[in-house]
Amino acid sequence: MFNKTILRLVQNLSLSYEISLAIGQSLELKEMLNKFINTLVRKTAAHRGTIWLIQDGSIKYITGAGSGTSEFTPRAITPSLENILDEILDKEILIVNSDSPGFNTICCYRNGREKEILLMAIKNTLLIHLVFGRKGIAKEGIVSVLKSLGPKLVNAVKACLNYQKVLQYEQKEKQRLENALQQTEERYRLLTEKALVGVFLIQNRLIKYANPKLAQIFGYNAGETLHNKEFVELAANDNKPKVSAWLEKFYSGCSTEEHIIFSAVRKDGSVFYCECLGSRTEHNGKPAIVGTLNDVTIREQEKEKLQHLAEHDGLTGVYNRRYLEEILSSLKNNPHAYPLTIILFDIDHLKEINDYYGHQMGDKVIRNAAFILQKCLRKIDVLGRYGGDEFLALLPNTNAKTAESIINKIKDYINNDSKKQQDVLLSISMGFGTAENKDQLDKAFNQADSNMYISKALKTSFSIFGSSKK
Amino acid sequence: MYHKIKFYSKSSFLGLNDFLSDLITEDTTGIILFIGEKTLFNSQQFFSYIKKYNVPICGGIFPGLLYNNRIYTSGILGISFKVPFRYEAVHNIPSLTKLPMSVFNKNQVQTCLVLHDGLTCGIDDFLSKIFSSTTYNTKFIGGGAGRLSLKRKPSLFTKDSFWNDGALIICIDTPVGIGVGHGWEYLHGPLVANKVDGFYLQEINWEPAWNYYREIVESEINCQLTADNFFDIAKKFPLGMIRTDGTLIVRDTVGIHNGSLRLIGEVPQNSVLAVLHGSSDNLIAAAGDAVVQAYNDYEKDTANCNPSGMLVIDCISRSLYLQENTNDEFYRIKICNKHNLPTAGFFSLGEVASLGDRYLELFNKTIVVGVG
Repeated sequence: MFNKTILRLVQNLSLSYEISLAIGQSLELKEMLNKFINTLVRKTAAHRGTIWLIQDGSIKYITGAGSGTSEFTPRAITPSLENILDEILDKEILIVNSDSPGFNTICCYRNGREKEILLMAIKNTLLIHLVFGRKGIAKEGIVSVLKSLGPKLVNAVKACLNYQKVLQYEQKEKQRLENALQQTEERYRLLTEKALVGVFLIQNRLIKYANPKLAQIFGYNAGETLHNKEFVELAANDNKPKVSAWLEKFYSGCSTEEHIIFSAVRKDGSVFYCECLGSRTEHNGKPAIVGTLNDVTIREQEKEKLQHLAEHDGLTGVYNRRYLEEILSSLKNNPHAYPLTIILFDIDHLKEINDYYGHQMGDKVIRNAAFILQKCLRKIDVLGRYGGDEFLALLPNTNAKTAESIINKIKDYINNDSKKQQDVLLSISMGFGTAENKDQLDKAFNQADSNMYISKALKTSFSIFGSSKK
Repeated sequence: MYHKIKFYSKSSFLGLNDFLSDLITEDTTGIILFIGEKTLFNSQQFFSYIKKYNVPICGGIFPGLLYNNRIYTSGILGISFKVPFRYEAVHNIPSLTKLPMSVFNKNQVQTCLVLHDGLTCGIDDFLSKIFSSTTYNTKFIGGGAGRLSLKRKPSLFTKDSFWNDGALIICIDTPVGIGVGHGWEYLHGPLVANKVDGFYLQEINWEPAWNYYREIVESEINCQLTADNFFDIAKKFPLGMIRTDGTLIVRDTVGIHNGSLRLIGEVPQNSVLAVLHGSSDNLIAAAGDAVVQAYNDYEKDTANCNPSGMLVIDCISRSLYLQENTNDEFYRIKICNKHNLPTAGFFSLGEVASLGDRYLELFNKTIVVGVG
């Protein structure tokens, strides 16, 4: 058998060391004290143990270990312990055995195996309540070890309480920041949810967020979602390449902000114009595009109208002079347009018609002339009203021979038309010039002009003069 | 305690239906089956048989069985009960944070049989959770299932599951008297287990555990202790954890790993240890003492009641130490079995016992006797 003194010494040392380790293992009060009481109960082969915080003459249960402590209800025993708290604080250590009259009240609950209770107050801060199924605890050295470790334990408790305060402060601060963040988020959510333009987030070409307005623009109900739909699928078929190219500009890194107008398709299949402004960003660490989208159908239609008005003659519907000059200028540098024939048309006797029949009849004659000319010209030819009674036609890829046949076609049409006319007979003087290249363009125009005047001068009703006939 | 005890020794399961039918009567509330590790065990066939019955059936595979004072390494020991009986299967003990249910169901439970995987980690913590879950005067008895090869395989079963790393908590509402004995004595110490990692004792007295232990044992055996003869020699020199009340919790040393000693059961860091030794006579006497203790405990708690059976849970390493003397141990048990109660039991990998008066501990190299 061992030397009992040495054995006791090593046991106490071991208990002391194990408890010291338990004390230092956590800054969370309940966790730290749970490790402490667990070690104590196990090491001392106690039936159970609980630990309480002493605060202003009352006690607060923290944790326990051993039999039944997971179901432990501190309320049942708190009043009894508080009744004898002064005595415990005064004596520091109180050992109550099962023969004592007050045993039952401080042994709540009881299963009948309890023999002795050790109550120990440590530095007016902690109350340790250990229940044993045996007697003679005072002789086992537990008390001495706990006494010697008391200051260390109390320091650890204070450190935990301070840490708790720091945590509470941090928690408050975190809460404050979370609230602020939540408010900001709510604000932004409100902004996007209530925005009068569509707002979207695209990632991997899929719509990851669409606000209600965007859904509404595309004809979806509130409950329906555009989530995970391919953005390009929103475009009309003929506009899909355009939209794909727009997306590609972001993904290839060519662009950080890009604007697009394209025709899109609503859920019901109707087509409309939308304008989209995207900006390159990151979402969850991956490239993404955020942007706005608006239905600009009315604006685009108005724009088209204005464009039409800017390019067309209000009376006849053919191009106006300004637009003709623009076309001529663009054809000038296009080598594929040559040979380019220019035909000038002048309505004969328009002044007399206006004077005799009135301007309404004059306008009618002009409209009829425009109609006939447009009818007889080809799709690739461009007809415009060049002056009050003058029209000009640009015939790309047309040599003199072809131009002559077209003029003859016009002549025939006017002849046939005049047979049907009851009121005023239409007479048009025409002249053309053909340019083989851009350097001959001015010459061709002058030639057309002079040929038209020669025609006008010579003809009684119709005369045609072309460059080939000179 | 028992309603019926039967033993099935056939090598095939063909007679299992008759065996189970023999165990079951109208008032049977549950059955525990203890299966010897050398039984030709076809789990699929076995479960198809036990699933046919409506009564709760659970159990485990153990290194050996004890039936009517005879030892078996194959066969099935079946015990049926007619008192309130319920069990709960616990899975994955190493990562268990909370018991999966209120085991004790707010009702008085007189006896709790805990069968656990003898090779899983976290048994101490698991036992602590069980102990802290009852406020009743519950007595605990049990042991570790598994195989002597120490290979980790499923060792516990219910009708629905066959698993390892878990436990069965079986609540049986019948009184029991419990006796615990080991017979091991101090050889060397006190020592401090100053570095521990789970089952591995890494340092004793701030020196590599294997070196320290070897020196002490070699001084006793007058020959070299090596990895080859470790198992045969170390079984005679277990370690003991000394508690503050002077009691000993025995820990088996079963292997060496990188200078550490592999134990069955955990040792908390900084525990006070002793190297123990024993003699066949002492171990056999301790088994008899455990029977006497169990009778005394039963009679103290249950006046005017007669026990109907005895459950013996004997650590397999005791039989490895006692070898042919193991029969003497059971003869001793028979002698002390004053009411000649039918005896059944199993060899275990770790034992569990508590009279409900102290922290629930896992024992090694110990014999636990239940009389009820």
